Amino acid sequence: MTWISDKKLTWYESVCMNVLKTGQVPRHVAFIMDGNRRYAKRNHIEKTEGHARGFTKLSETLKWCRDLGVTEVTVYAFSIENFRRPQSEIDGIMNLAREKFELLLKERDKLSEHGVCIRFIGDLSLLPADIQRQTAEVMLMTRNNKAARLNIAFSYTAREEISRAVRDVAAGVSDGHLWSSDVTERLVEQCLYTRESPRPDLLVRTSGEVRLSDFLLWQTTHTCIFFTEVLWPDFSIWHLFSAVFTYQRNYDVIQAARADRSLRRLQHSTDGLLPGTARPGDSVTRPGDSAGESLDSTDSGSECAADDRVDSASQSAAAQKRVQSFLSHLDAARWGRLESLVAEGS
Amino acid sequence: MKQLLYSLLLKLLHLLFTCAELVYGAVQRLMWQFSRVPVTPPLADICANGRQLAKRPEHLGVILVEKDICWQTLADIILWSTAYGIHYVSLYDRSGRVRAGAEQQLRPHLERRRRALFGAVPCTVSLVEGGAEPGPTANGHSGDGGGQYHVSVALLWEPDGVGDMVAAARRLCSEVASGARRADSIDRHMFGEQLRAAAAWPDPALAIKLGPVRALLGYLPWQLRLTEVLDAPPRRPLLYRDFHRLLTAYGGIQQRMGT
Repeated sequence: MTWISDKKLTWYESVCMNVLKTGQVPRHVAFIMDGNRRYAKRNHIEKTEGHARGFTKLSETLKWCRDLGVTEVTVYAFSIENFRRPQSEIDGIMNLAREKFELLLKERDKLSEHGVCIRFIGDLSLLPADIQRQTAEVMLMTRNNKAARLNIAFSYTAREEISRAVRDVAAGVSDGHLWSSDVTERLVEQCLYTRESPRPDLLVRTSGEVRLSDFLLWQTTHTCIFFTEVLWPDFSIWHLFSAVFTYQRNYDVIQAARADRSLRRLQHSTDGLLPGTARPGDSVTRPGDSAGESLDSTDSGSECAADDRVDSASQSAAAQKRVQSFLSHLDAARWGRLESLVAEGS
Repeated sequence: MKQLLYSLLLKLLHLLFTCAELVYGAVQRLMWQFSRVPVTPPLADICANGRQLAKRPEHLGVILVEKDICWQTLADIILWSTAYGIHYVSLYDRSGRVRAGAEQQLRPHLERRRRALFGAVPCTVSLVEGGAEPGPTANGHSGDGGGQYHVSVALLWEPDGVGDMVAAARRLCSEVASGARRADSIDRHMFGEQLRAAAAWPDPALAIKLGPVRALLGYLPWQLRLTEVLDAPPRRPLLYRDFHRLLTAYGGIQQRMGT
């Protein structure tokens, strides 16, 4: 079993993939991999075996995403809420995690070859110490890989992520690194676990559930959402193709909404209003109309750039310097914690 | 050459889908035009339907992702929710059209539809921007909506989503800067209480999406944590039976809450 599957596509899968790739392909896809236990029940196998098959499916899906040209994938592997499950099931999931994270460490060369950066997002302090060390080692090991990124949400909820980001920003204010007037949407977003990542373009949830379950709530406000009935271990390339096709069919209207939002924020920041104090009915300039601003391409990366422009328009040079210094300090502290974890374990 | 062929194939596939959607939509509209429109049941029957639901959302969200607003549909959803005993309804349109049109468009429809459904039975609908404070009511009386049939309706738009969270973060940081609060006192429970959109309301348990777009376009991201999102059929105005089917479908959903 491997994280980097080499399974070849059939000729008709290749043709369909090549057809889809001539259209818009999402840069960042998020998956809520739901349905392992129901799959296990349906197939009369143990729950832990259901989770193991779910991992196999993850490995296949990552290969399909790579072939499609998706450069970032975020998967919801384990929620903080899942700690309420029976201890025997949690132990089984943690043992599976240990096994798979150890496998990641052994596949260092393969990960480097494919340029895959792995990031674990969540409140990792809730995990057993040995798993914390494994996750730290994997993140440090793949830190400099730039071709693609895999975010594994483990011990994660969006509300914990958002409130932690706000706490970090408040700590920056308390320590004198920031002023409270430096607090913007972009700053809070850069303190989330998914900092440096573009917002997901497509979110896929399997098993027929039609809710987000506290996953990437901040990041997915303007994401194409694809709900499918199939259970995660049964997820096929055709389901992925359907999701991407749906993304393409919704691309224009979602991009227009993203552009509209960025322009409204930019317009109100340059008018001297704080972001978030817009008034209904205020005119919004269209892409290409606004002097000096071009948002013709409003993919998720451009959206972050647009948010940077909003901040630049409304912040002084001194404020921007404080923010950059604070973010560097925060980043250094996070990597420092990971390095300490690995050092403790060796 | 191959790339050109693949590109043409994809364009053809999208064109076929678009044509299929247009044809299906046209056929549906024709059928609606020539079929007998089911009459909305009387209030007593609607209330009985509400009581028979396996579960009811305390807070129902309505997310508009369609180009044209059907004000009658919004008015009907509010009033049917009231009859079902749902006390909180949030209407979300990212660009603020619902907020801007509440007085001129929504209120007259609410009053007309309220008279048709409730007659002389008292029914209080409070429209509030952002859902923070109750405002003047559709029947002309101000007040907090006492009585059997009452609903508060929050008129929301994009700044009530992420913008509200950023504003809360800024307020908390100001308090930290002034020494009124410690940074480490901020956790997810406390942060949620700082939000002003639909403040003190329960989170929306169910959101009905009006329109074909497969995105929520900024609706209450914090509060959306466990919200079931169901798509309304495309027919406008929405029929009562469609609304009942959606609420019945919601009643059949089991949430495992992580366990």
